[in-house]
Amino acid sequence: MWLWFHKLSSPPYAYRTAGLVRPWLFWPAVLLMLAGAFGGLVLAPEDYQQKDAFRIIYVHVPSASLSLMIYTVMAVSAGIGMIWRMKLAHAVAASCAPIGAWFTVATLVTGSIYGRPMWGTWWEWDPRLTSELILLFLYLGYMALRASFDDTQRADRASAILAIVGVVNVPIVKYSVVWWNSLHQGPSISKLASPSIEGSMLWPLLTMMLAFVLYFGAVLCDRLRGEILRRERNASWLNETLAAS
Amino acid sequence: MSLKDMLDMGEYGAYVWSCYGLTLAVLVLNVWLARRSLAEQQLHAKRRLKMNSESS
Repeated sequence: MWLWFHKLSSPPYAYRTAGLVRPWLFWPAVLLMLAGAFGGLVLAPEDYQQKDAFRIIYVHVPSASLSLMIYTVMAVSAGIGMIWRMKLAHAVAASCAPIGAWFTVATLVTGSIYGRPMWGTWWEWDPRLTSELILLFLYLGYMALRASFDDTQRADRASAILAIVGVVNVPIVKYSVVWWNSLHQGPSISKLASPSIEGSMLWPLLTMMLAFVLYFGAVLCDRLRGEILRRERNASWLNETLAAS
Repeated sequence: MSLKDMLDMGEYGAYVWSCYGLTLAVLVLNVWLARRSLAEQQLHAKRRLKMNSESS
């Protein structure tokens, strides 16, 4: 395990591995998204309260869970980079940020569109909505902080601290609907023993969530490869790798 | 379910389809942005290597 970890942390190996792994994440993600969308839009019955508007959950919930997952991956990578001084971990963290920011935007916008017919408002300063908006500011702050340093190593260290401190917001977003009175509905699928959602509505959602995770892996592979190239300016391994491509 | 029913989504067609459309846009955009930044970095790296080999 440690040997593998050590091997993967070498930039040439990570660059090549990410290139090989990418299609194996991307195409299954596309297929699962098509299956999930078909299940959610066509096969699932309409909700007895929310009617057909509930079908928005099949894009809103996977986006939201991905926005939190990506932040966690980013913070853990930044932490590994700080503790073990592993440059590749910082590269992973830096690659996560723009993807996470986009999915936070998707969550907020689809949530807003969902809120309009269900709650009668586009926006409310509600714990769930506000903490998700803070998540977006954390991503943007992380990227702005990185961009403000010319030196990559200083950017890595400063932005890692922000990423790690900001991770406190992740459980706040997740449990905001439990801790406070929120306009947002409570958890439906995380109560593993008895999910409060019917099977024919649940499987498209789980399929979509898996698809989004695989999709994130595929996009991360591309971003990471770009980031590795940016950092390894004059490394000798670039010669043979790029000549082969 | 007919095509009209699908598009109407009860009375929520505009809400449901705009959410799916926007999410699809974000999915496509992220792949495109990541591919573009990778292609740019590959081009830069190749140029640098060429310059290095010419100067040495």
